[in-house]
Amino acid sequence: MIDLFETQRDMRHRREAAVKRGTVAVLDIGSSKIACLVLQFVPEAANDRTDITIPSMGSFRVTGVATTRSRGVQFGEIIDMNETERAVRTVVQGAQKMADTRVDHVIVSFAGGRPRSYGLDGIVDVEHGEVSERDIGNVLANCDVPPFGQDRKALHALPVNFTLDHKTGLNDPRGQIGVKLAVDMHMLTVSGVPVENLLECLRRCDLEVAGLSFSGFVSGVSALMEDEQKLGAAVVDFGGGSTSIAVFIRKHMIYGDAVRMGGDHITNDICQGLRVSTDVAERIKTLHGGLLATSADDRDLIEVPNPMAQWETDRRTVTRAELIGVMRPRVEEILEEVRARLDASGFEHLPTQRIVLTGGSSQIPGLEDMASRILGRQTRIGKPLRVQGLPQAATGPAFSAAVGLALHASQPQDECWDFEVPSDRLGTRRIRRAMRWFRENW
Amino acid sequence: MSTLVATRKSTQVVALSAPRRDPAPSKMKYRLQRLWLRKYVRPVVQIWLPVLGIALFVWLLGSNDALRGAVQQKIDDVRASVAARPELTIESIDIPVGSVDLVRQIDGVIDLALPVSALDVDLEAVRQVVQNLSAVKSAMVHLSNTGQLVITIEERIPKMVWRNGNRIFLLDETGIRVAEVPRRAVRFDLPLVIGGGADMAIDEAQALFDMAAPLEERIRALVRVGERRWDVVLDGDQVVKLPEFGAEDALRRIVDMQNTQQIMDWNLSIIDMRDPNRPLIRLNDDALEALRKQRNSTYGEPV
Repeated sequence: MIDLFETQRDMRHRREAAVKRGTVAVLDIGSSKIACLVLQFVPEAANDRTDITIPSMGSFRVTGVATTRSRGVQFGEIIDMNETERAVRTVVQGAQKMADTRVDHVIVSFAGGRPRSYGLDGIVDVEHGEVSERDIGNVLANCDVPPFGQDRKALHALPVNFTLDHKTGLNDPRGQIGVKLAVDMHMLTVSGVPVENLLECLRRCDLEVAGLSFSGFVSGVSALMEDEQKLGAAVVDFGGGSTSIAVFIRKHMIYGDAVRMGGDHITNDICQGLRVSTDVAERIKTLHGGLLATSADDRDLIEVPNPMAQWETDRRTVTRAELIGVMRPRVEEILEEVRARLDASGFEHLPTQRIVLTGGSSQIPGLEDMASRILGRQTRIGKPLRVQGLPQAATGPAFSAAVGLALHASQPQDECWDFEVPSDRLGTRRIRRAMRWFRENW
Repeated sequence: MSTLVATRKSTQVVALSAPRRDPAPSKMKYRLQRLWLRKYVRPVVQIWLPVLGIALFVWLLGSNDALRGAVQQKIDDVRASVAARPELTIESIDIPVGSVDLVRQIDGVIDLALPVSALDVDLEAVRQVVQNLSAVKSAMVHLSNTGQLVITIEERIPKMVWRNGNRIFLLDETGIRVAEVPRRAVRFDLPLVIGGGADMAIDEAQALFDMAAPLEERIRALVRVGERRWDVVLDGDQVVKLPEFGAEDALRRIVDMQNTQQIMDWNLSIIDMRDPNRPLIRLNDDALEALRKQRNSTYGEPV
């Protein structure tokens, strides 16, 4: 686990440096679109009120926004490195041009890689009666890590809950007196190869990765209300290629998962069902799509362009009811899959079971009703929080991951690797770090 | 014969998979843009490199004699070719106003080998030369578009003749010499002032002449005495000595007396008004003799 800590810790340092320097970019590489926001952090003075826990609205402003059609990405994973690289270059250049600054550090969200959640726990004796940062490092290092596979990497390792001598529910046990310190940690692992590909792709674009987050997690950060995050809620980021799920309680993500289906599959269904090209299907879906058929929809004719038509009279129309009939089963399938994952996560044991749908595909009319029917809980469509400087065009649900990344960058949660690893486990780490520093800077 | 089947003029054909335009920047362009956005690159490229380039060019030009010579030669050639244009040639000098004498004088002082190019003529120098002539009050020099150098002058108009020692000058109203004349008789129409420093007090002299208008026929000259006061010399060698201050008042009294008593017709040689409280008269010898005789005859005693 040490190696993994290393890269994550480096990212953390880089992010801190970038935030201190003032400019950082946020990159949401999705299956249907790639969005880039350039954030300009204002000096410390703006966010001196630490008691306000709404992710500090005033501490940064968005100075550059660009989006492009995603290329070479499927299920949130890169399948064509060159295409993706070009797309990333396009957005980064556009956002840089708008912001008129150069960005070196990007924070990226990641939706693919078959995320898997693990609940870890560890327990140690407190060394000097009073819990110090060193004890926290010890207990985090002492967690039993299940064998999650050689090729997988930990994307998040969040200490969710500390227990000090039967007193549980502590967020920050430092300074408290006790004998035994236990921790519950949530670890999210993803396949290593897609992550490696992603990092390589960004490296090719001359960008340094200053953070890597699970897209469901960051969508939750931006789309969930504060009390929803506290009392328990699930966010379903209904994206293009995959649908990420994250369960929050007490402002921590306790479960993350992804269904490898999304809006692109709906488009595909339309494509096949109505025998039109992908572009046309996408257009029909966004303009006329829906999930609840009414009798009016039988009379609502949608003209389907036919490239083979030779005559003006040679037209083809479908009713909206037909279109809904094509879309509905796929959405039901996705939602049922989401429900299965949520059931597996033990979501029903949370005090409140709010479900927030966000992401680009959540804009399908009628999804809210359908989701509440299938998921069986109170659901709503979530738009991301408003942040300073974000143009109106980028405030829709499709941008919740990007906005969430921005918020997460301004107020990152403590991860396991932010704490000092006890020295007996350090080994040759220091020397290796020094070597790496030399290699990177000289 | 028309065909039975109507044909559409344009059949819209939609490609099944139209190649999309790729908006992605090339790798080079992307890197260049990122370089351009670096903090110091823009001022360096936009300001310092051009400045450096120009400085280098100038320095190169200055340090190499042959190069500098060549450049100078080129500049001279161009200038010469421009100067040789017929449009810029001065064919003649035109002085529209001015007396014949003055024109001749001006022609004498301007040494231009006509025809000459306008580029080679320093108009200001020409103007200065003309201006320096004493008879010229002001001069304007310009080039007409007909190839003439037009010198517009304003002449000084002589108002008085001034005899200083053996030399006779004409003065304008400010006391500046306009010309030297050989004889007083050349300008007999002008009043005469005599004596050193008279040119400095031309205003006063003019005022006195104006005052003495009733006596104009008889006044020969105003003589400056000791560069401080005036004597009015009339015909018959009569002299009116005026005070240094209040000369006009004194002269007015004389004129009044002339008007009432014809004092200047008396047989006297000098009226001394230098002390206004005590004017003196010096009679001529014969008048004095006559007076004496008269007194003798009246009182029987010598004066």
